[in-house]
Amino acid sequence: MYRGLATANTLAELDCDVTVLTADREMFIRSTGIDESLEKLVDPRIKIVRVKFEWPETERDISQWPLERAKDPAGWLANWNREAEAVFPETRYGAWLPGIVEAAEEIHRQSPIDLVVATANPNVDVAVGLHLYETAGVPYVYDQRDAWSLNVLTELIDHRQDTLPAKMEKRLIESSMESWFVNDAIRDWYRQTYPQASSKMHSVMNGYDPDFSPAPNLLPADPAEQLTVGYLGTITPQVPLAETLEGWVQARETDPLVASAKLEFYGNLGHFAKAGSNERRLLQGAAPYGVHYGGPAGKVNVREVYAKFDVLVFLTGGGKYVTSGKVFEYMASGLPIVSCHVPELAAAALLADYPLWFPTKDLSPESIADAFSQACAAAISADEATRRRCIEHAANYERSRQLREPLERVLAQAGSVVPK
Amino acid sequence: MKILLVTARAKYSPNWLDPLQELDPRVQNEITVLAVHQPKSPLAEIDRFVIVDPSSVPFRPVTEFPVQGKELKLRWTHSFVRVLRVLRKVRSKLFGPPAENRSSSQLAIACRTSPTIKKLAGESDVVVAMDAAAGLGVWYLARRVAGPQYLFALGTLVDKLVVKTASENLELSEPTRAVEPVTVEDFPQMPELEPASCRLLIAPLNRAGNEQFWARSASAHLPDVAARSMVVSNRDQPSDLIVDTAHFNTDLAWRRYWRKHVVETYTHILAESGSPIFGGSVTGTENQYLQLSGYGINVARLAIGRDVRIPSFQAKSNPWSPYAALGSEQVRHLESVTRHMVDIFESHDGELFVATPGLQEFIPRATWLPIALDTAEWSTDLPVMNRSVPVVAHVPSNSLEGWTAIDSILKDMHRSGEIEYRKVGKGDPAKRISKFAAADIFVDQFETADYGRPACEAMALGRIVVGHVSAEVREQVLRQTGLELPIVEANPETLPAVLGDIIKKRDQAPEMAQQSRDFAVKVHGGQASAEALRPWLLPAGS
Repeated sequence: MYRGLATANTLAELDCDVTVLTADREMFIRSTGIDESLEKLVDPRIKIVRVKFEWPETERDISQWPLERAKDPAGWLANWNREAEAVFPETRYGAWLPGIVEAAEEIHRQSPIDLVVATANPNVDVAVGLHLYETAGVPYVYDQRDAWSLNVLTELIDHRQDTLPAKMEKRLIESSMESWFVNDAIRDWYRQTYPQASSKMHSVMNGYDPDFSPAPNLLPADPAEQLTVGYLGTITPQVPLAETLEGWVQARETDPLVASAKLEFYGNLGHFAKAGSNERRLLQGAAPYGVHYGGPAGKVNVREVYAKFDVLVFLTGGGKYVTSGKVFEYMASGLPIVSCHVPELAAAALLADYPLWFPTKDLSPESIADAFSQACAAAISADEATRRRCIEHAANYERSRQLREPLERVLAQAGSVVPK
Repeated sequence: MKILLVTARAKYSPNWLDPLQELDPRVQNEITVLAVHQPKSPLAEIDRFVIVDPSSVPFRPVTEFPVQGKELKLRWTHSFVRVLRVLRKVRSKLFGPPAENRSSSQLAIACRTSPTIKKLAGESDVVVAMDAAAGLGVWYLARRVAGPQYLFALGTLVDKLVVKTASENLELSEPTRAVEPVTVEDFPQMPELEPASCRLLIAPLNRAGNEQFWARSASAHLPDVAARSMVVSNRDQPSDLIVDTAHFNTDLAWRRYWRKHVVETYTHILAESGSPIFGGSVTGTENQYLQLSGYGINVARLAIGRDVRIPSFQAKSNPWSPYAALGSEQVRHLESVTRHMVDIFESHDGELFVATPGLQEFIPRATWLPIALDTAEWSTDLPVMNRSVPVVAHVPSNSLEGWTAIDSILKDMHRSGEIEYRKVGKGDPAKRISKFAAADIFVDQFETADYGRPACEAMALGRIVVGHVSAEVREQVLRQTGLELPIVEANPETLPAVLGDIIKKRDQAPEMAQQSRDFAVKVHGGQASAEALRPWLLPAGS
């Protein structure tokens, strides 16, 4: 969402005539929820064309269902998905293809398109680029961000090379002008998998959006006050919560400073309908050790929540292919950051030069406890100069800085607009 | 907010209403459950529990069931329902069960016709179909009563209300939902280990049902070795320590106890199938194994079967591979997962073991750790093949092992009177002993070209075992044990003829049975397993 917004706005800033082809607003409201404050940030010069996106899985209002679906919800949905995948081999998104291709043709007819930037997922978006490329020679950028064939969390291959999705992915990559990925590890996997297209594969990292990031904190914490260590983000089943809590408890047993501190979690428990009962039980078990769960925090509260924290704890799942958008926001705070994740996490490379980073060498309680101790000590001792260096480091990852150069490059290649 | 939850479920697991905990406690909700089946005991967390009786239209009374903390006044409808139940039982006995008696249909008819349920819906703000089987009932209610929102699945309701709450400004001065501390008075603990220089833990799957006897065998046959087994399971199993998944994954106190125990007690850990040892982990188990090595514990890995059996390898070498019967998506997934697991095993800097000889095809450097069972317990004096119609036993497995082919062949032979076919369940070992012992022939699976625990059990009981084991595996068994594998070779095409032949030559049966028993005692009686572990646990010169 943030990357798409920043891409369109950056293109508008580069004096491009930008049209965004997207799904109907109601679908977003129904399925993922929307943040109206973000809509206001869309550059007014950008034209938005919406194509209705059918997503029956998110239609949970039974009164709107046909009788056949009420009789057999799973069977009806499986059948719908099969039909959609026959159109485009991506689970649940195929049905959108005819509508977006038709809309793209109409946009192109009214005012010829010079460049398509298609952002995944869903990957069906990119089929618009492929269609205009094959029918009208319009170049396109495949902003793949994560990966399609590769599962970046499990590091398993979801779609082997002989499958329809992998064949489609290959075609989309090979026909693109450039393919973008959020980190070098994913890009390198793709370079190895599709070597014939490797020269056009690039890393275009995510970043933080200053409007939704913590206000930098340049002052050390008051040693007379209780320290607050905090986590803000969805507490999914993929984050190493158990390990983090074990480390926290251990740190309290050995370090009086941590023993007097509290650890607060803000964010939804679990994803959507999977309501995180395991995470809740773990948090309940940790309550006697100064652990609090503060519930979900709306986007409007982000700054307010960060302002409560003296130390941040960055916990995330996944490994070498995972950067996590959270890391950029965390770095923008200038606060000490404790890392609870596998050491090979892609985000570790970004944090390596952050002066107040306290990584764990493994996920053992001893190692995590040590990181908590060091970070809590730094919360009191780190001076303004150190914190400024933290913020300067984070500034490299301000989102528009990440996007501007690659967008200028592809625009120049497309030959449509000479960047200012 | 008044919420009506509609369900057709027959069983109420302890956590079926867990998502409700996500709701903001500051919002007062009144929750009523409308169900077809009674729970075993009154439920907590809800205000009313209403049951629609699955009787015929128009006599469809809706009665209250007690909920925890609320007194229930018995009404005339309760007696009426009891009478209807008796009548239904009588009708079923006289005329057989009704053609349509599924809970979902009963609930749908009730929702379509009952004035009481219509009234319940009319008084609600939200009506939620808790499961797919309740969908049709709620769909009918939506057509009868305008006003409430009609939602599918409890998670939807929670999302809706949590999203709504999240959009409000939370009071951030203090966490709004400080959780209540959980106190754990007692939890599963490992019995004390006898003193020894080499202390082994085998954990945590017990898939092949062997851990405990492997541990016993290592302690009994190897000097200065003490061993324990641990299994993560929600049901009773033979193991020194059984830990349920809730403790293993989410009980912080237990996890802390267990980690300390493991680190302070064991010198060696045999980890089954790349599973976590310290407690459920979302970051992969490699990290835990590295930590164990860091504590100076020697970790070996054990492959148990499906974890490393790569479908494409198997499909090439075995025409009866089970994977053809699966959907291509599922096979692709298994291919990916098993290849990944084999890579992990191969990159393990330590000992590797496999539980069956056929698995060495996938991990050639692994040592075969023979399945071990107590051959004194798994023994019988019952003779074989002294009946006119022999009894043939078979353990049905799941679809992956494709047992249906064997099942239908054996059923055909049963119908023709050639054999008496008995299916044996996987569950209780004591029952398996008596059922296997009562059979003359045991038919194993054909799909993996290997043999596993059921075949070992049947051999130990001196039964004639028939199955498909590849020539390579047979050769390997001979090479490693010096004994011919006494499993009579057959495949789905030859099974009737092979069984016919055994029946015809019944005079040879006692000798075949004795060969089975001898093989099981020598190879699967525990000593051979201990010997397989010896070089790892007691390396030469140690």
